[in-house]
Amino acid sequence: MILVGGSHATAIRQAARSMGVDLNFHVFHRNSPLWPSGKELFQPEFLAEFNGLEGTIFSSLGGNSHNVMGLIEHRAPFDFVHPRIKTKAKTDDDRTWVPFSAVKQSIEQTAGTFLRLLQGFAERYPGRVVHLQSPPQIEDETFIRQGIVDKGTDARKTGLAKFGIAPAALRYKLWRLNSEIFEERCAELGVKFVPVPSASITRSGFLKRKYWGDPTHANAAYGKLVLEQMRQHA
Amino acid sequence: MGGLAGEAVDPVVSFPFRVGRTERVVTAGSCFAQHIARYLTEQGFNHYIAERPHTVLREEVAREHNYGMFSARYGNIYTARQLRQLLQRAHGRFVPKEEYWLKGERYLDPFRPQINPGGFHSLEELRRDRKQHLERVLHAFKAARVFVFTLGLTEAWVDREDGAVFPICPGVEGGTFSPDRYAFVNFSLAEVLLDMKLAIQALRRLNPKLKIILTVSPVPLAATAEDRHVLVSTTLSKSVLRVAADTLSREIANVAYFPSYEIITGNHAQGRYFDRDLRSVTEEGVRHVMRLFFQHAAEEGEAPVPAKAPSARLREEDAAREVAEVLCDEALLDPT
Repeated sequence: MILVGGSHATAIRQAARSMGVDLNFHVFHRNSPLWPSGKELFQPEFLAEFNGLEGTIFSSLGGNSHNVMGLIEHRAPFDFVHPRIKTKAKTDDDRTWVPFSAVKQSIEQTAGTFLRLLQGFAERYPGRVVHLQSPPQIEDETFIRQGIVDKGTDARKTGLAKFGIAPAALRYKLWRLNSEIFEERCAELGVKFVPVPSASITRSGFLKRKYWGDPTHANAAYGKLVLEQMRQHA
Repeated sequence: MGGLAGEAVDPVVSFPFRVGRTERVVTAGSCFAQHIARYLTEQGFNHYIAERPHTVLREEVAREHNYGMFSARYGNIYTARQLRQLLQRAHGRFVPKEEYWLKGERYLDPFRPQINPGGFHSLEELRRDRKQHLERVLHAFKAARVFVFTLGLTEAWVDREDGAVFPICPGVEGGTFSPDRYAFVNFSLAEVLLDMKLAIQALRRLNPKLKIILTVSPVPLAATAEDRHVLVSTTLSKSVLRVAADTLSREIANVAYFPSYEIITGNHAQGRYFDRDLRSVTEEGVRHVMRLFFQHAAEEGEAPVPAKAPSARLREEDAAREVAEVLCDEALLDPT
């Protein structure tokens, strides 16, 4: 199976390795050699291999733009109304309400290169392209905070020490919106969009504890569930 | 004046006060007021933005959502009645019955129908945004030291039931027009004067020392709902507004009229200050207006150059991006 993506691919790769599944993985991340530069979407060294690929390409591209926007609470806390998610009655009115369309556009811009890559695969690859939804949010703020501190991140510089983690309800909405952006783009491109494995989510839509990896990623057990989905869609 | 080059004509002569470089200037009005707001910002004056975009939004997204066009996201305020009702709404003294207009599946605010591109995605979103907006409107007028208001139109459409006045005709951008629900009005001089006087009273209650600069938009009407030619309606509308501005500036202390209308439309310009559509004001015309504005109505001296320090938005987004990327990098480094 062919997998293209960034950090969310790691859980799948770990699962594949433990299960002895052969995975042809190509990393597309800001610091990776295949990351687009200049006008060319695909680097020449990738194109040579790309033209010889056969079978379904699975994409786990993107999936962190929502975390860039709202994992850590902002100096001036914000929120937005998602038209398909009921806003909690207790929502703090002191937060700045940002228009849904503005949040959506901002995520689209942050995820811009990933969306262009997805489009590039869809348009240039003669075979099937399937996109995997990024894993859900982890509800537990303590786990996220500790995970960030453990990575050696400067808590003062990032605002984590002063402002903390954004409320789970906001992070959930941002994740949903990020997913919807990819789902919409998939529909336009004729790419199959595969939602997260239903077994991995709690009733309120968060990642179940046994699938937690680090603050923004799932683990190999989650990867196994996704790998099973990939087999079904291969 | 016939012997002068058009751009040398200066009809201001004198102006009763000057805008300080650090004084908070709040702007509102019709399209032409946008030019004034832009120049104030560019020249380093304190064009006060009370309804700022959240730092999470990228600048181009914020601009597209009409943040920073005026001091709050009220969009164009064409009539004196709109200004008066905006203040009443901000104080909670007037709640119009017309809560929203539908445009497809989106919700428009009837009092600023073009403020959010495409409209709001839910009624709840519209309500929250409006509540926040009106709070910021009140804040803007409380904080202001100078208010620049451009009078634009006398023609408008109102709700027959409660008199709420709309910036555009219902049914054009959203909602459904019904002659039973909406009525056309062409405000008389007496009505414009009364609306402006009540608005100024309300502003001065919030802010007794507020200096007010009135201008009349030189942009002609695009259409008229009167049974006459649009040229005739334009002349009447601009005449009413011009007389109202003059009367207010004579009768009320610290209310001044700035003659941008004359600078753009006067014979000296030979029509050059209008674009090919004969409505839009050219950049050359705006420059002439603003040059005289800064010469006569603004504090002298070089404009302070705004510091190029990274904005709060960039600093915070960079920090948040760094956290997300550190986590992603770590995840990529650990594939076993």
